[in-house]
Amino acid sequence: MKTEQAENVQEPNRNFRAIDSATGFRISDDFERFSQKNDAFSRSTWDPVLQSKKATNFFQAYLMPHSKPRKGEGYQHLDYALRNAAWHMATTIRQIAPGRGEGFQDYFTAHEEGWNEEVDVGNPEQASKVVKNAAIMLGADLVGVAEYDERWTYQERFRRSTLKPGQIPTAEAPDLPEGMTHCIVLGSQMPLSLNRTVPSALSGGASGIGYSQDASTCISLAQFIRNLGYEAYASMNDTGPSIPYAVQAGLGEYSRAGLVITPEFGSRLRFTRVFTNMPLQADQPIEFGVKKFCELCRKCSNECPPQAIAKGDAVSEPHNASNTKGITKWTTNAEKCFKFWCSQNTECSICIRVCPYNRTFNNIFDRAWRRLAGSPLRRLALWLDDKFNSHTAKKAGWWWKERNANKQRYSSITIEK
Amino acid sequence: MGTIHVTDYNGVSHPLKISTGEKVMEVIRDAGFPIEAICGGEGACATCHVHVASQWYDRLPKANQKELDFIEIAMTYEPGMSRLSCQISYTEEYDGLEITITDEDD
Repeated sequence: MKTEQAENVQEPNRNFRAIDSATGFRISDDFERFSQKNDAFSRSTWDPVLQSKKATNFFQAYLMPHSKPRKGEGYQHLDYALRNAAWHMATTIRQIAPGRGEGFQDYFTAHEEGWNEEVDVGNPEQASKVVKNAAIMLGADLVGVAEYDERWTYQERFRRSTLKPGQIPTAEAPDLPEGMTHCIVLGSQMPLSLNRTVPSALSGGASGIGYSQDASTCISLAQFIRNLGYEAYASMNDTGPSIPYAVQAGLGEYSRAGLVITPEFGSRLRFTRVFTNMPLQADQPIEFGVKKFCELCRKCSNECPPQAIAKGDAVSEPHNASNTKGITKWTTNAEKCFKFWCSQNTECSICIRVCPYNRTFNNIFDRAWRRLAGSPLRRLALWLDDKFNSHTAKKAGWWWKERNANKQRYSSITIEK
Repeated sequence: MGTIHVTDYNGVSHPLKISTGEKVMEVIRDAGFPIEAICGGEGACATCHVHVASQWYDRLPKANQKELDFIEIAMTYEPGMSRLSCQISYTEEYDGLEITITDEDD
């Protein structure tokens, strides 16, 4: 992968940072840090625009007695049972400290005492390699380092647990301690086989197991850094958005669907972060042709049931309160997206399933396709994807019964996750 | 011009006028019934889901693959009854069609 300067040239302003030239984010003078109370999930608890019985049911469905299994294939008891089991550890760790929503509203605090002085692990370049090796061992599939960027820390954090009925949440400052210099971004792939069953409740197990395992990975990595005598705070959906950091850390490129497309897993992965004051060497953003491919391709926006994904060019105007102000980018309408999630009482990731980059890249054909998609022959790559790479949905019955029907032994070597 | 009969959450039947070529979803929604149709009538969600009376179900054209892919999303999916109302275009042979709007919130 080569690193190139992005095409966009921006007028420097008080919100501009040098790295923006490489990430492609155009940050304007009216940029405002995002407030967590305005994400669609938070708004559904206090904003009448997104409050509904369906939204309440949606959240409650993560607890089995309220899951509402039904007759549709992929939405039956077995499917909700697995989805909710996959979410179980993330849900449990979330409640580990009274008054906090760890991993969702607050960073993780499940740490033991580390080392009492900073251990020398070499220069920043060497230290980054140490940390990256540890991250992969601890469960990450992809890891990169970005410099700490205060623009991606929430202006205000949101506390659902203290919200009274009818109350609009009050401002509460983020509690990430000052002095953090770097953000380690961890990516973990979601199982391709489950993703192929989208839309279904079963497919929600892909994000559930992602959250549960990610919590373990980022808490463990933060503990590793603490064991070396540095400060480290593990973060999942709390503290700020992950996407800008994933781009800045060189894990992938920003895409039409508002997700990061990586060379290894497409957009079929989740991100967590560890904030630290450990001296590290930041990675550089990468460019392998995603932006130009997305300009040509509309599969995610065409297939999105509520039409929440941009069909046109990157714009600076937000759709609603759930978008960050002052960034020119492809922007998703989170209100429409969330309402569709609620309508089917589970998550959706059709945009990930239908993306031409949703491949394993563990074979020569996928790697050749990626090279073609990043070249001036990207239109041919799109045609080839249409012709040969089916992204159509598989039914839940295929996942439970058919895909491994001929297997005699069940091991992680022989069974596709 | 014909009539379809729409039964609401409370079991009350409402006759609605409908013209040839009109989508059943549009007529129900425009009459004020709680039909979201968030995909805009493309058969790509299940927020216009209805139950069709059994005597009418087999008389309607079969659902295409896209409708089949999405119809099972519905909270009240019922094999042999469930259809997406955006995928039913009215013709004279459906005069008297009976459908029920189901409470997807329960």
